[in-house]
Amino acid sequence: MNDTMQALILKRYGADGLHIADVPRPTIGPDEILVRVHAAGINPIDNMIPKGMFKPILKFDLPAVMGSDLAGTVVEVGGRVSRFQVGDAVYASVFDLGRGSFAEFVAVPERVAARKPANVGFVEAASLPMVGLTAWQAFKERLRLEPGQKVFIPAGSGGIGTFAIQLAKQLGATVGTTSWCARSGPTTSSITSARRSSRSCKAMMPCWARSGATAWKRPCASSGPMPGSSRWSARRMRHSPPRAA
Amino acid sequence: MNVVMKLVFGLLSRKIRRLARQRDASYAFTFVRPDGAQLAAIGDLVETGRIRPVIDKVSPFADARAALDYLEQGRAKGKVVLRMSAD
Repeated sequence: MNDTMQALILKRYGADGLHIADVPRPTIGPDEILVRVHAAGINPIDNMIPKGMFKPILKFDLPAVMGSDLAGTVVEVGGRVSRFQVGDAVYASVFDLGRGSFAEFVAVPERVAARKPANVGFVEAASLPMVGLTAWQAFKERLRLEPGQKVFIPAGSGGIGTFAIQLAKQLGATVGTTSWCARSGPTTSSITSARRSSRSCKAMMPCWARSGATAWKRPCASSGPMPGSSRWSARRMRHSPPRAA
Repeated sequence: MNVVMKLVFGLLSRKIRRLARQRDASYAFTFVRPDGAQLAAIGDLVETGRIRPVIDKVSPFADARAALDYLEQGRAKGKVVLRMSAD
C-alpha cells in the first residue's frame, strides 16, 4: 500500500505558502477512523489561516494540511471505535484538531464523525459541517432561539447564510438578511448597518430565491427597515421576549 | 476560552463591540467546535428534506488554490467544495 497521499499543505504563512504536495498518509489512534476523502468543503477561515490571521489561536506545526470539512468513506477503524465500520459513508469537521481535510485521507476522531445523509452526495455532505455546526451552536447553544423569534443573518446568500437561514426557519424563527445582488450592488452586512440595506430589499429577492432559501416569512416589508434591522436584532441579543411581526 | 484567547478576540472585535454598545446590544464571538452528535442531527434535517445544501461551485482538488481564491472574492452563492476523487 502506498504510504503517501496528496494534500494541500501550508509550508509557511503568507501568500505563496500553499502547495499541493505528497505527504505521509495519516495513521489512526484507537478512537479514530481513517476516511478516504471524496469531497472537502472550503470555508473562509481556510483563506484566513494561511495568512496567519489565526496564528495566536490555532496552532499548526508547519507544514500542515489545511481544511476542516470532509465527506468520504471509512477505510480503517481504530480498536475502540464502535459506531463505524469500513465502508461507511461519513462526514465530519476536523476544525482545530491539528489535522486537515484537503487531503486524500484524514484520521477522524469517532466523536466528531457522523453518517453521511443518504439522500445527498459526498459533495453536498462535505459542504455542511462548518456552516451547519456554526449555525447550530449559535442558534441552539448561544442564542437559544425559539419559535416566533426574529433573527438577522447577514450575507444570506453565502455559504453560512444559505444554511443558517434554513436552520433558523426549521427552529420556527423569522429571518431577515442581506445579500449581494448584481442590480443593487453589494449591500451591507453588519448588524449596525442592516437598515441601510432595506432600500434594495426588492432587488434582493431573486438572489434569495437562487440561494435556495425558499421558505421566507415575508422577508422584507414594502417600506421601513428590514425585519433584520438593528433595533430588534439588538433586542434579541439581550434575550428580550419576541415582539409581534 | 482561555485568557490569551479572550484578549485576542477582545482586540479583534473592538470595533463591533463599540458599535454594539452604542446600540445597547451585546456582542459575542462563537468559535465553532466539531461535534458528531450535532452533525448527525443536522444530517437528519437534510435527510428529511428540511434543509437543502446549497452548492455554488465544485472544483477538482488540483484547482484547490483557485477555488480558495474564488471564495475569497465573497461572491459565492452557497458553498464551494473540492472533489477529491472521481467517484
